[in-house]
Amino acid sequence: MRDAPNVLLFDGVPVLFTGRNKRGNYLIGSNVFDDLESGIERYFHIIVEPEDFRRFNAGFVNYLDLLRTADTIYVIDRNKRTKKEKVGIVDFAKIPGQNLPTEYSYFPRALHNPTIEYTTKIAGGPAEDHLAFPQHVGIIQNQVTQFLDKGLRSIRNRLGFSMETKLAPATASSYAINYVVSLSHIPGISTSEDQLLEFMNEFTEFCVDHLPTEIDNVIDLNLPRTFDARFEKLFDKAVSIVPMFGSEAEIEQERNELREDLRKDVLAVPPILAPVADIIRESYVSLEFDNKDLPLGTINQQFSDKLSVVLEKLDKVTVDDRVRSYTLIMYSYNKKSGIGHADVFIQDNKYAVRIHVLDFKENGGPYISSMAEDKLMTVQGLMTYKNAVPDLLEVS
Amino acid sequence: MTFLKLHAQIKPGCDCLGFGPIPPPPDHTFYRWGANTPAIDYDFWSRYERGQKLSGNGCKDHCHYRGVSVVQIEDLARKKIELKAAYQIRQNPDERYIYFIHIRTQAGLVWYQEGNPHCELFKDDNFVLEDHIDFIETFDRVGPI
Repeated sequence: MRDAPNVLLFDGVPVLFTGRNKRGNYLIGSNVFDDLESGIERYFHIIVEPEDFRRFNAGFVNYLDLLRTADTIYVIDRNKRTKKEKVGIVDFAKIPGQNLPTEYSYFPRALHNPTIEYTTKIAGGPAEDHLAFPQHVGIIQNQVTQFLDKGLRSIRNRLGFSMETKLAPATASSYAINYVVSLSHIPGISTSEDQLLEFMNEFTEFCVDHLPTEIDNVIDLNLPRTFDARFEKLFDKAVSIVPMFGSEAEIEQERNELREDLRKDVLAVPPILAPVADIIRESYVSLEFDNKDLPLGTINQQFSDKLSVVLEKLDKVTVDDRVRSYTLIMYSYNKKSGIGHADVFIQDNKYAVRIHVLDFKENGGPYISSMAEDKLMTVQGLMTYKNAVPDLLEVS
Repeated sequence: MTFLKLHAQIKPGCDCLGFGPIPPPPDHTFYRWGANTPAIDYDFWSRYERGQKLSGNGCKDHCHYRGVSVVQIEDLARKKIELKAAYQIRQNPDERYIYFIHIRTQAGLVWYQEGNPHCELFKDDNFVLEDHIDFIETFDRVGPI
């Protein structure tokens, strides 16, 4: 592991822990046995995808399944006296049953204490060298701060506490931007900081993971709801935090108002995250959003595609009925992805538009020239409009 | 209290009491692990008493070897979840049961280590399990949380 491991479970020795290797991959490790006589501690390490790491932390997949499906299981024998380590590889099928975790090896969420520290970690592109474009960092900081604000807005308005998000010093791993959320004047009798932060985490997970699936039900709450609708679970959580008093009718009205406020906050999130998703898609590979060591969500290509569908449902989206000619000046362009931004001139107006060059060539010739020389160029493509405003030009 | 058994045939020059063990405060809660329910004497034997091999050769190693390992805890409810969850990752029948206990003053002395909840009970020569350990709960780690 690159740094000191984050120990999730301790029983005389670290029994279950997480961390990253030198390449920044997520690692999960476990103690297999600890022989006091020989002084040997044996551990398993596996590399997992961020999504599986998050599902494990969220309690959706157990450690036994992660071991079973791991590409490689590393075995590390550590001599406590000499501090020397031997590393090998083992097939899952060859591990004796008594050395395997049980089917109940889910990570218990009850042990996770939400903290007020959040981190966005950018990976890929210049972030691999611990660098990021300053204009991107500024946008990400602002948008994530707005996003954090949305999480507790409906509850905050009712309980009257204050919330402030500040930036903490950035750290070099990939490119990490750190936020610290301060909550004050919390009505301690009915509510604790932990409850609020736990709600914020669930709000985040819902928006990143479940909103694309449930978007229709969230837009129209009158649509038939499924038993497992996560929005309803999020709402139930909010209700458990906000005390309600009065007659049955008054309480019912309060519940409806809270549900409507929560709905608006959730629906406000996709436009907040859209610029972040664009930046990541344009110049990086992913952005992970963590509550300290608990991953809450990942913004990557997959998320970006789902977000587009959500945004189409939220906005009135129209697309050119045929390929047209557009005049523009590029102001940003990534020649490796074919994605950038330009000022597009339509009649007497200028619009800042996202550009996606289909079938792009890696040298990016004319687009780079337009950007470097502030030069007009003409392209053929299909424009997508959001609420009648040019938004995305796909260049043929 | 006397500790002749604790120091029987110990490495010359080693005095476990020199590490500053103290009588266990009555409000301190500890846990110990074992294979039996209810606990038997063997579950509260040190590695020395069990005839296991000593690892290391310093006086600290000898005293750890002759002490009964106990872990001090603050939050019993949380610890139960932790210990059960840990058992799902690494099963050891010898550690299946967790005994949450208070240690009576006459049991001996407890060697606390700064910044580490892991302690050693140096048993008095007249230590008797039933008389000197108060069992709060015996907890089975097998099964789902």
